Formats: sequence, structure tokens, C-alpha cells
Amino acid sequence: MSSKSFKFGLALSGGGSRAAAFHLGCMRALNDRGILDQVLTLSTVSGGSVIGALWAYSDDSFEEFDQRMQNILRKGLKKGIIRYTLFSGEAPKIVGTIFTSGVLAALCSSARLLISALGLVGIKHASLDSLKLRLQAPLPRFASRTTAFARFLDDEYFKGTLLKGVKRQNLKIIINASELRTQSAFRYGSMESGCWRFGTLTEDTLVAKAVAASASFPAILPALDEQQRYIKRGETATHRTIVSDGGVYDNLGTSCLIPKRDSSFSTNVTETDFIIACVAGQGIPDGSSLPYFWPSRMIETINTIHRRTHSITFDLLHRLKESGEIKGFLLPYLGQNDAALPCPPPDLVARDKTFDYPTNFDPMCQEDLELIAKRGEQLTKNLIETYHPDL
Amino acid sequence: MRLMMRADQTARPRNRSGMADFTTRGQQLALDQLQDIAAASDDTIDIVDVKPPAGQGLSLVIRVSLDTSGYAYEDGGFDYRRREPLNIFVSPHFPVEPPRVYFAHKRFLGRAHVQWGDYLCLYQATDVEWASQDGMFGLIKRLDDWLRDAARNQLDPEDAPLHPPVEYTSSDIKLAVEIDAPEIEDGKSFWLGTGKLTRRNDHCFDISEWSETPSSLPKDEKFAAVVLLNQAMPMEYPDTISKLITTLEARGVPFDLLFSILKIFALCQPDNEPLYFILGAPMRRRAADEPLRQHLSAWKMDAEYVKALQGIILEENTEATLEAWKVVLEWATEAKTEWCRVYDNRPEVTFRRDQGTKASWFLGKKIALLGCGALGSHIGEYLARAGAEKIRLVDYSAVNAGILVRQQFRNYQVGYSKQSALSVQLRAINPKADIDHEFANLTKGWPEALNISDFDLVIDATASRRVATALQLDLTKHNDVPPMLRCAISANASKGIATLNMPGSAFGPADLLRRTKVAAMSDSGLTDFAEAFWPFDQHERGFQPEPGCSEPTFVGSAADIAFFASSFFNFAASALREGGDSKATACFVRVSHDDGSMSSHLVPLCQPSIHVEAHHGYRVHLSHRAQSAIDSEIKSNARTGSAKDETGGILLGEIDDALGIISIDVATGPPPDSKKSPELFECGIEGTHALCEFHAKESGNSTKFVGVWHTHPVSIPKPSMVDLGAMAKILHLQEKTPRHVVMLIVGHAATRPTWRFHLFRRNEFQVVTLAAGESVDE
Repeated sequence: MSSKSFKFGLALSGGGSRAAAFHLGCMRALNDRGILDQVLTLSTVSGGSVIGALWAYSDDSFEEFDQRMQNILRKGLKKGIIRYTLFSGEAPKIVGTIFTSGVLAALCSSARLLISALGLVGIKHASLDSLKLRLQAPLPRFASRTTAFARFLDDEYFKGTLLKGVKRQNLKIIINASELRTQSAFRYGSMESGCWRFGTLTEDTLVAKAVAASASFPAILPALDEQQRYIKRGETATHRTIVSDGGVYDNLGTSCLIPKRDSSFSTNVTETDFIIACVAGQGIPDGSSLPYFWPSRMIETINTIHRRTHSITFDLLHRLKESGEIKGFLLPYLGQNDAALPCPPPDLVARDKTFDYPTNFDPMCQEDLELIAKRGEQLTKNLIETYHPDL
Repeated sequence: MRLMMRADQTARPRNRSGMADFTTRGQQLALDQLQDIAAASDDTIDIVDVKPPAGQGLSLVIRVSLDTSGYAYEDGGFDYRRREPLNIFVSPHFPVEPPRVYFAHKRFLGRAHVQWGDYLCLYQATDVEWASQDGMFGLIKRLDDWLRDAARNQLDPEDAPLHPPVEYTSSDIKLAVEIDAPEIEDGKSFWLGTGKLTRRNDHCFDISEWSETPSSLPKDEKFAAVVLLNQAMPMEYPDTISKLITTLEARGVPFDLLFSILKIFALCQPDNEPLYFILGAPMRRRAADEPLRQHLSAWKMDAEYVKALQGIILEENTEATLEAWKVVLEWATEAKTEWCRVYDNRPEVTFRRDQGTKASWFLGKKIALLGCGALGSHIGEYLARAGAEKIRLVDYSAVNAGILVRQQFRNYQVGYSKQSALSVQLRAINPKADIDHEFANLTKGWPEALNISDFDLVIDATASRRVATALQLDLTKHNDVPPMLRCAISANASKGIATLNMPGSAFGPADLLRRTKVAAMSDSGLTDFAEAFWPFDQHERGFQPEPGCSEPTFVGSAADIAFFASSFFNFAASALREGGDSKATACFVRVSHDDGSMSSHLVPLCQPSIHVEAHHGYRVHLSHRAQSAIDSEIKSNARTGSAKDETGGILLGEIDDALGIISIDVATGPPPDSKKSPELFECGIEGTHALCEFHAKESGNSTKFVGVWHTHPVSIPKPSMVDLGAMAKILHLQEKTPRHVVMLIVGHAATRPTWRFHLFRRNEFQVVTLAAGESVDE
């Protein structure tokens, strides 16, 4: 069967610069095989959104893109975020936000703490409970490090491009984020943006903002907090929307490629019958971490939940293939257990040389970048050769 | 009145009149239901009288009166009384059997859908139309619809298939007709002629030929008189000869003409044989918009009357003539019409029972069936039944007693050659088809006596690899090879594989088999097929039914084979009917011996791209997979900034010297220890051993190392001295040297790639030991 008959969906997972470098390698192999240009839907999360959006909203050759991406990764995004937070036009807004929205939110928060404390010493009343419920941050966070991040991305890379302005032919992009109020997927996309609870946004969004939201790792960056206008089933309404990193909801970016989704409960429904999921996760832990105190316990708890969703997703892909709902899938996985590859290339970059690279946006050294990208390329090529040689 | 329910057979309750009550539970149910209907009908339906069954097994008769004022009358429709009396006969087996409904008079005698003058033909297909759970409610609804349609003359709408008229048959002789009836010329009121009767068996004649008015009739053949009318007969055909005579007179056939016909035909009948008279009337239509066709019926004149007719003409003795006249007159005035059952299978009035099925592809097709064994003998039968126009059977083995267990032969055929025995069988099914057989050993190639381009499909049911090879070698000489179906089943008849190779496919019968193997090996859902058909350990001899002296075969029953044969037959028919893009398709069929579950799986077999090898003229089949891998490596090489460097890798596949085919299944990129430069690509070896082993295992040893490939970025794809040196090294200077090796060079790889394959054999290189100081040039 010729690859022309497939409707490819490419998912680029989260994982900071590590993910972006890994995906760059995967995209090299897909490009060499002529598959990258056939991809109809690109679904990106966090670090994957950075490289995915840079690809979708540019029209240079793959070689030029490859070079540009390497430069960005070597330079890192962290400095840019700090610079825009402290020294750009965003800085006074952030200060203003702290003194208005921030102070109010802090006051409310303190009052709620106080009511809780009263409850602990036995002073309880229904009116106090309802007051506590109403004591939420009253004003949105107008500006933050995340809006500075968005501004940096826009000035440096996307130059005011809106989501509908995809430059690659026949490509649709979905930039995955998470809406924390409704605990649902918030998908920015070239077709539509929104979440199923609120509806779709009435106005197009800057690519840079979508990428920053998708990559705003909640432990480090605040969520984007805005009043947004939506349309749902013909009615428009404004909702305060709190959007954070896409990895909170689905760190692989595959959820929007699963067939048979219903557009009444989901946005950006696409037709995909072949899923390529590039996953920059670490793979099986070696058991060296021994969580003892609260922070490490919490981190490992989150990691465990993450791992579970990963393994459920991997299993789902196999089942979809078996049931014929998709015609096939490729799963290049940074944390791949090398011994499980039936016919690995002899010079495969081993898992243990790359998997523990951190998931931040710090500058990458050339060696790490090359190793991670090469592993992505080798795995993707090997999986095609082994499982879908007719692609 | 209320009838009592029957309690039991011995203590039969008595009804009010003191008579024994034979009413069954069903009849009581019918009456209860009808009373409910009547009570709710606001006088539309009244129960006038109820006659309980007068004896065991008899009907309960309910007389009802129906208000017909709601029915709209239209021209030609039934003109009811204001309250129409009807008798409903409820069988003791109600509600399994539907009640019968009669008019209480015979005013509608001769009308369509009224039989015997009063019986309403409510149901055409009782099994489908009668629902016992609806009981009398369903009957009254149906009756209401019928009466409404009949009042509006809508029982036979213009565009619907026509219900044929009825003849109440009494003769035990049947006539079958499978050829369309002749047309009546415009302006004539009938067609007069003969129908040649061929005896099918003791019970049935065939009307095998129509011919115009005869000049003379040979007495050693049997002919029926034929009159086809241009106007309809009554819906119920006359039950006596006298009524028939008047009915025909009314339709333009005068008695003296009829009498002459009868006399002529009586004369030519063999002694003591009856005369058949075929009567046609335009009363049939298959479907909307079709013209009316002849409804054919036949009546039989007993030998006694035929003899009397002969007597009238031939007897010179006046007394004898008078006696003959007496018999004839008695016949004309008193005899019943002895209608014969006609099995009408004319294309113009019937539909084939397999129409629209997959098998309908075979109608009128010309098929060569190679191998008349287990699968062949079954498939042959399906071909004959599906109406194949021409069938050629090829085999060279004989029917023996053991194969009757599963092959479609008869006990008396033991000792016949299979192809001739099968042709007898197939002709018995469809004598109209052109069926012949050919004694030929197919391992010697395509039989010379047959022209392959005469066929629409060749079915190879020999399951022989040698036959496949022989055919492939032979068929390359032909340009117009038709589609070919090949099929085989596994040793325990639990799995079967069929392949359909279409014209224009790159594969021949033998290498298609190889391609099927590679497909089965690489599909995790088909590993059981790979194991069954291409076992790793080939040393087992297989099942020998007569140990020591018979060819190994499979174990399987006639039922097992029928399943596979029909699966393969339908697979081919379906693919041929629907066309489709795939030039070669394999059908994998399995049946579980545990629970009998069946599954089939179609795999389109990718067409390779074809190249011709430069030195020996071998055909090269380059798989899409290998081509993509090479293209991808060339692109990758260019991307990494070294487009001017040569690159390459190794080629895996199989070289078949018997067929002259090089199959390249897999190509790899350069092993990591390769050296690339603009002048040279030196293929490394790191990891290649493991890679070759992996593919050999994956493919059941069909995909092995066959050679190397490399690019010439800016020059033609001609092997350089360096390349030849590399070949010599592979062929002579290794531990385990291959017999031959393929070198693919992609010339002008950087601009406009040209692919060329070169096959080098070990004996084409001579090893010359150079003395010290000698150079190669010398």
C-alpha cells in the first residue's frame, strides 16, 4: 500500500528542548522518506509546540528549518523569557498586575485561609462557607512571565502571525494546552481554537500566544488568565479562561488524533488514519529515586500519573491498529527500551545517553542536541523499516 | 354463538345442537379474534353464521358480511354488493395455516386473483406474507387491502410483475422450457408452429427448439403442436376440451384449424404416444416497463385419442373410421383438459437465481481449469452452474476409489481420467455449455492445444509449485495472458490461500507465490499461514493415504474442500466483478477446527518496479520498500551536506536462475563503518550480519543478501574498476562466497537518478596471481 493513501497525523509530545531536539530528528527521518510533506494534521504539546509551530508557520526548505531549529535550541528560550519579563514593555504591565490583580488575589486568598483557620478552631457557619467560595481572585492576571514568553516568541519568531496563517501546504496544526477551570483540553488550532465546555474562540489568536500557553509548564510559568469570547451552538458568551501547559491534559498530543471523536464534545476534530506519535518521555525509570519528603513525593506522584497516561495511550494505539480504526502508527520514543527493537541500527544512540536530559528551555550543547536528534532520526527510520516498510 | 374449547380427544364436549365438537384451539382462537374485530367494527363486518367443523380435520366456516361502501370503484374493478357476503374457512391448523376466504357467489369467475370463481388469492408467498401471531387481525387487514385494490382494478398495477394465470394440472408429464418463445408477427392473431420435444427423463420433456409451420415431421423425433396467441386467456384455464375449443375460437383460432393441427401432429406421433399441445398467451411480465411475454402452458392428448385421430385419416374401413370419429367426438365434448406442469426457465420471463451474486461474473465467460482434483472438481461444478459458456478441463491423473471421499466424482467413474470424468459431470449439469477436456501434464507447461488468449480466466487448482514454474516460463512468451487464479489448501485443510493475478501484473505464477509468502511472513496476523504453507522444517513428508505408494496430500473432507473452493471462487468473482486497483491480490482463508469459525483476509500484493539487468537480461523486481529506502538514503545523504559523496548500502532478496528473476525486497542505508567520498563508496559490514539474519528469519529465508547498491552522484551507472574490484572481493575473497551477486548503481544520483542493475557470477571473474613487479595492465 502506498503511503499516499494514508491520512497522516503527527503528534509532537511535550518535554522542553529535549522534546524539540528529539522531534527534529524524527522529522528528518520523515522528511527523508517523503512523509513529512504528506502530514495533514500536526498536533503539538509544550516543547513540541515550539518546533511544530516553527515548522507549520514557515515555508523554508527542510534543511533551512533544520539549521534554524538547531540555532534556537543551542541558544535556548530561557534567556529570552527572562529578558522579556524584566526589560520589555511587558515588565511594567507585570508590575501593574502584581499590584492590582495580584494584591486582590492575595487578600482573597488570605481571607479564605482565615476562614479555614476559624473552621479548624470550631467556628463554622454556612455564610462563612459561601463567603469563602466567593473569595476567588477577582481580576485576571493581565500580564505575567507567560505573556512575556508569548511576546518574546512573537517578536523573535512569529512576527504577528495568527493561527490560521499556516504556510505548509494542506497542513492543519493543533497546539494543545489545558484549561484549568474546566479541567479540559484547550486546543488552539488553524481550524478553530477553544475547549468543548466554553466553545470556540470568536477571534483568531497569535501563534506565539498559543505556543507560550501550550509550553507554560505550571511549576515554573503562570497560566494565561484572560476573559475570552466564545461561540457555542450559535450563542456567544465571555468566559474567564485559565490556560496552562498542554502536557497537563495530554502530554503526547495524540488525543486529538484519535478517530471517531464527536465534535459536540471536542474541538479540532480531524480525520486521521495513521498516527505518528513522537514521544520524548524518559521511558522506564530505573528505581533510583526514593521520594521521602513532600516535594519529591509530589513530583513522583505527578510522574506516575504521567507514566500511566503514556502507557494507556501506547496501548490505545495498538488497539486502534488491531481494530482497524487506524491503518497504522509509528511511535518513536526517546525512552524506548533498545533491547526491544527487533533490528536496531548498529550505531544506534543508546537510550542512556539521552533520556535524562532535563525538560527545560536552557541552551543545549551541540553534543546533546546531536545525540538526541540522531536518536530521534534513527528510531523513526528503524520503525518505518521494521513495521511500515511500504511507507 | 360461542363455541366451547376442545377439552381433550376422548371426552369430546358437545355443542348446543348436541353434536360432537371438533373445533380445535386454533379455530376457537380465530373465532374469538373475529368476534373481537366484529364487535369493534361498528357494523362494518358482521358475523352472520358459524358452522363448526363437521368432523375431525375439517374447517370451521364463518360467514361474514362486509360493508363495501368505503371502497372506491374504478373502471375494470370488482363491483361488489353493498354488503358482500364472504365465507372464511378456518383450518384446524390455524394459526399456522392462514384461513381461506371465498366469495359467497361466482360472479367474479375468470377474474385475475380469483380462482375457481370464488376463491380469493390473498397471499402470493404465504410463508413471507402470513404472520401467525397477527391471526385474524392480519387476515382482515389483508382482505380489506385486497378488496380495496380489486375495486380500483389495482391488483395488477401496470408496472408490476404479472401473476401468471392458473392451469389445474393433472398430467404426470412435465415440460421444461429454457429458450425464449417466438414472436408473433404484427397483424397476426397467433403463431403456429412446432416445439421439438427432447426427453430429459421419464417425467419431463424439454421444449428444445421452436420452428415455423412444418412441411414434414420426422417420426423418430417428437414434436408438440404450438399455438401462441396475441391475446390473453382467462385467468383460469378451461378445464374441459369443449371449453378450450370455444375459448380458442374466441381468440381467433377456428375449430377447423385446431382440428387440422391436431390431425397433422397426431399423424407424426410415434405409436401409442400422447400428443402435447403448447398454448401461449401474452400474460407474463418480469418487471416494470417490460413488454408482455407469452405464458406457456401445455395439455396432453392421450394416446387413445391420438390413435383415434390417426384412424380418421388413415383408416380405410368405414366402420373403423366411424369408431374413430366416435372416440374423437367423445373427446371433444366430454374430455377434461389434461394440463401439464410447465417448468418455465426462459430468460424472458425469469430471473436467474444467482443474479447479482458474485458468481454472476462467470455467466457467459470462458474458463480454463487446470487440475481437476479436490479444489478443481468443486470449482468446476460452480463454473458450470454459474453459466460459464466455455470450460476447458486439464489434468492427467485418474479417478481412484480413495478420492471419492472428497472429490466430485462418481463411483462408476473410478478408472476414468479426472478431466474426462469431470467433463461428463459438468455437461450433465449444463449441457448448453461448451465443455471439453485436455489430457496434459502441466509441469511441461501450458498445453499446446489450448490458446490461452481464448480464455477470460485461468484457474490453476493444481497447487503445484512445479506447475507454477512451468507456467511462468511458458507464459512469458504470451502477451495477452488473462487473469489467473491459483489456489491451495494446507495439510489439514484448515487454511487456504488463493491469489488472483491480473493482466499487467509484474508477477508470474511462480514469483507471485514467493511474493505471497513474503506478505504472509511479514504480517503478524498471518503467521499461522506462514507456518502452515512454508514451515521452517520442510522435512516432513506430508500425509500419504496409501503409505509408501502415493503422493503426499492433505487430510480433509468434501465439506472442508467445498468451503475453500467456494471461498476462492467467490474471491475471484468478486475481484473480477469489482475491478479495483490491485493487480495482484492474495486471499487468506482459515477455518477453525475447534469451533468452525471462519475468517478471510485480503492482502493486495504490491507491484514491484521492473528493471532489466544489464549483463544477463534477468528481470529485476524492485519492491516499493527497497526503492523508498534507497530514495530516502539519497535524500538523507544530500541533507547532511554531502550530496557529492557516493552513498550506498546492501540489497536483500532472492535470485532465481530458473526464472531469470532477481527479487529485491529490502535495501538498507550504509552500515556505520562505510566510507563515503565523491570518488568512492566503501560499504561497511558493521551490523550487516545481524540485519541479514533478521530478514532471513522474517521472510522464511526468502529475503537474503543478494548484493550491494551505491550511487554515482555525477556520472553514469557503469561499474568502475573500483566497483569490479569490490565485486571480485565479494565473489572470491570471502570466507563464504556467494555464487552470484547483484550490484545496483544509481547514476547521476544528485540530479536525475538512473538505476542500473548488474549481475556478476563468480565464474565471470578469474583470479590471477601476479608475480612480483607485474602490474594489472600487463
